[in-house]
Amino acid sequence: ISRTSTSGLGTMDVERKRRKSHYTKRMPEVDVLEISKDFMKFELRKTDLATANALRRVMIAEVPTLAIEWVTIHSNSTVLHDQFLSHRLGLIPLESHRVNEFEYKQDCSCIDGCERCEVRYTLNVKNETEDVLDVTTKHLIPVDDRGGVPEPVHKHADDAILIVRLGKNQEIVLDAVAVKGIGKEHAKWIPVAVATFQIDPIIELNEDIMERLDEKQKQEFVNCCPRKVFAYHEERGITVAQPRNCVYCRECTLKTEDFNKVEDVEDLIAIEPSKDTFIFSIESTGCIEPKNIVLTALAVLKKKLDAIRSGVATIEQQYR
Amino acid sequence: GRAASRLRTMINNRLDPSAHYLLDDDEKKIEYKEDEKQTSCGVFTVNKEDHTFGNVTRIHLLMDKRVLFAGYRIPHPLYAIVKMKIRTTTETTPCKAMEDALTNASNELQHIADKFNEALRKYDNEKAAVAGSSEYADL
Repeated sequence: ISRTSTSGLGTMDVERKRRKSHYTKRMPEVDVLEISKDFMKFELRKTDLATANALRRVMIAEVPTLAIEWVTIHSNSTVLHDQFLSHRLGLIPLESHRVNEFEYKQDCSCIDGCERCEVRYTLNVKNETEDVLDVTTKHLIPVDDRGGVPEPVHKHADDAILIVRLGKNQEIVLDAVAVKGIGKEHAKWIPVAVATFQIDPIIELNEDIMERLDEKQKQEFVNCCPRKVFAYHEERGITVAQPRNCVYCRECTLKTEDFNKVEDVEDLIAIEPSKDTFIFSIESTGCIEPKNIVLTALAVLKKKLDAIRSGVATIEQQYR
Repeated sequence: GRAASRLRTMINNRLDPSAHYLLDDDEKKIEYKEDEKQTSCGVFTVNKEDHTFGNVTRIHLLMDKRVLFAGYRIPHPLYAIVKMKIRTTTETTPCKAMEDALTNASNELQHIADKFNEALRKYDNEKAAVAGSSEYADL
């Protein structure tokens, strides 16, 4: 059958559409709200809570970074003992934007470590002054001096991380080896300080009922919100000024009980969490840029699902 | 190897964290067992996975109209095993439904990544436009 359709769908498309009627494809939308060196905020719409949460979980636990794993201490006369110092070194954020060029230690074909699976650092400081000397990430130097080798994120004087403080004649000499890993293995490999999302609140203010309140009651209602979600204007009355500040404390719903002379006052305000809009706030430790954390997380999650799908395809062959 | 990590587990009374995401030598990533009594019903056992995978796949299975039942459970929190039970109409099989759900989930994630890149470009353009317009504001 050939049809000249006015709707723009040819016969082939109608056939394809009918075949896929058991599943309606969702088209998520994204808007970036804020972005800076270490922080970003974006809005994800038309997807569900499970996907948003999966994205959050992957950003925390499965995006790979670099962190120090082995420390060989040659001399330590500081006030912190060896394991204490090593623990602190492990938590230092290392520049990881090119971490996907590295191999995991267990996957690398080398025998004893190479430049493809590890990054070596050295720390060698002796306090020869009379004052206290701060050993910071400024002193953690990569052994490989070619350049382009990952260094600690905070290595400049104003934001260097303090490792240990040396008194007179104390010294610390050690070698450190950093490898690629994920948050699931140890928290030092987590690329974010925080990765959270807020479920967008849907706040509906019934204007008719609002008109029935007098000026004093309207002011009272606006003031009862601890997060300043509402605002009062002389002409317009109560407006929902900042809906995203809402934390579902329900103070406003409880407040309507005070206005018992007003008809239907309990329907004045209705607050419900959205089922499909999420506002993500990502704060990076500095090892990877926030936007790359999100993109890598999406890629890791997609790769995980694809790998399992190919496993299912093999099983499906058997049952055919 | 596995003997060394088993010994360490006995001594420290805790599992190696890699047990949450690395497959053991004798484990398969995914297995399937048909239900003995119900038609077009079966359970997938996926090793070294958690709610990140389970909940997303379950949601996409439930979006498929041919799926009558879809649910996942994690039998014990110490062991990273996800069991997904699926029952479908006779139009399809649990295996095919699982494959479709995973495909759809994967496509949706690709779509989100594309939209995210688009949003980043849009944000940069808007910022450049604002910066550009403020330059001319003084003229």
